[in-house]
Amino acid sequence: MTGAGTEAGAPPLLEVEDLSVSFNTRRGVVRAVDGLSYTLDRGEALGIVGESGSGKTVGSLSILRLFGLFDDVTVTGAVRFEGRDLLRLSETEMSRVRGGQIGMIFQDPLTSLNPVMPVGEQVAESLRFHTGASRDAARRRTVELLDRVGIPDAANRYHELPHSFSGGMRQRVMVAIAVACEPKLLIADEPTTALDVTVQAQILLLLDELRREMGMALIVITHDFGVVAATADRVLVMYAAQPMEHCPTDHLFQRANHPYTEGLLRLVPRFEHRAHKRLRPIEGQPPALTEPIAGCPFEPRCTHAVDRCAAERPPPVRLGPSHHSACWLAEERARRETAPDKPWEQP
Amino acid sequence: MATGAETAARAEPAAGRSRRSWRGHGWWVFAAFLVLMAAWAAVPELFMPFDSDRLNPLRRLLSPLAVSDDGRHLAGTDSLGRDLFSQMIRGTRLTLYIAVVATTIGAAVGVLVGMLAGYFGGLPDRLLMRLGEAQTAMPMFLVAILLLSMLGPSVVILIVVLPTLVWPIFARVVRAETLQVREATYIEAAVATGCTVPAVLFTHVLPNVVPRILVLYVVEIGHVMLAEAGLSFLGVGVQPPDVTWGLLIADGRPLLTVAWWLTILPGVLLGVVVLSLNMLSRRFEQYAGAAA
Repeated sequence: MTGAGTEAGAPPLLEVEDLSVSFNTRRGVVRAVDGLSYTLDRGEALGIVGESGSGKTVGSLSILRLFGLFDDVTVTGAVRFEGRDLLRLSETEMSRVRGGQIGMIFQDPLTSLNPVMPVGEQVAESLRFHTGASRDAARRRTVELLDRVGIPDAANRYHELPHSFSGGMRQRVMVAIAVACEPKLLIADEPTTALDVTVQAQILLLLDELRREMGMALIVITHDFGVVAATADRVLVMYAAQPMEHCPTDHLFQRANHPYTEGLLRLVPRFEHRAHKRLRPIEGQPPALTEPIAGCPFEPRCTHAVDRCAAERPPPVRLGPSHHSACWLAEERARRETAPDKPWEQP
Repeated sequence: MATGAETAARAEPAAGRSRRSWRGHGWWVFAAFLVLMAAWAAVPELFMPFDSDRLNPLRRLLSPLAVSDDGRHLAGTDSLGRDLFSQMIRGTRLTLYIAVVATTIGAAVGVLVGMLAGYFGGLPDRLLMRLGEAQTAMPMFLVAILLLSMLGPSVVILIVVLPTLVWPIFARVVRAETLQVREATYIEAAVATGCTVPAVLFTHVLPNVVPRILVLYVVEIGHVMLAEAGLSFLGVGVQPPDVTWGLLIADGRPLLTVAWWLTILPGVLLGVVVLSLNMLSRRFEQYAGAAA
């Protein structure tokens, strides 16, 4: 699938092409990401949505090649960042990219800061490594950054250890670390999952502001459509390691095409629902990723499935500029007379 | 040991309280004693009542607290009439110096090996840790005797040989801690901000294992001190005219039946220092436990 913005001569900021990641474990080969492709332009925000184990996190960690030291992992495809294939860089070149060109925010702010290192030092560390700033310059910049991400009394809190910060504050520190060197791309892996709802909104707002200020591109990994709606220009829906649907965010809520996307949207609670209306879960379980999947991975749970779905893997079908759906019925579904502007009320 | 005490404290609240208060405040006595030892090592002249080297046949083998023409001999005198207390003070510097330097070298090697083995795992882990185990399986004290008798006894060789006794202990503990720390998200986050392997090891892993190292370090100083005393006692360690407590014990041995203090008093001093180190280490252990 190709996204928007490839029409210009310049290459897009990030181009993921047919990325596949598999882990060789004792229980067999697990395909964590299977044929993922997308592009991202400068300053653009992409939301990657999927349930646990759908490959959304691994797919994004592979951009930075952050695999566990021991994982026996096979990566194929290409991840081109400003034209350079990150999968082919040396470890030293890669450490320049990490934090310098591409920032990363993790899910759990409580464990992503080193407990025995003052928070300010953790921000300054990245600055000094990537910009070669002096100790003093890095400290001044760190205080500015901490102030910018909303840490009150930043100059005095520089020397405090993470345990004296709340979850939301720690996530703000993580944001400061991630944007310290003004990266061109920020990857946020479920940045709000571990936070209170009110804090979630603040962090999302902060990310959005910083993105506009610094002109960063953003990849937000989440399972929360609310987060997608708040932050992303485009959405990529993943299921069982494969991309299912890729579309502009407003299309997602008005013209979702893929049966899986539709099923997910039906599960978002709505104010319009009458109080007694039950949410209808998608029947069945996601497939085991150790088994090869011949057809569409969603076929066993899909209420629209036809014979072909089990036998052949559907290619992404282009439904409009930057709207693709990996479904054999995509065109047919797109032609439906009543555009499902309220997919959650469909039969 | 500490775990046992904690369990007991939990089981009996009344006894536990008294014990906890002892554990809370008793340590400073031992710390103060060690500070005194450090002072003895730093400026022995200030503390020595007599010139430790001056021979005086007229005051040979005086028992502790005996008074000669020169004054009172707190720890008695040896067969050449030298004041034992002054000699013990004089021996402090070399005793502590050898123990601290050798333990520090052993700790540095062990910490490095442990971090590398724990962080990388796999083949480096197996190689390094098997090396440590193979060495632990050998009677290192005997190997040390062999080496020292072959190379000739000297302080320098002692400082090279003694660390081999302790580095595997540090390596094992640090490896185990590193295995835990390695899995933490903040290590992944550090890599994601561009930290290279040395940066991750020294700025992120090391500070997290320091509390455990400190506990071990203090205990191991005691062990090394005992090992040095053992080697010196056997005549392959420190040689006269240098003085260490182990050497004093050795010198007194032939006269054990007539002058017990020559052996017993340096031995007691050595024992109390090792005990103090152990007590201080337990105190650190509580801090380390609280931090973890």
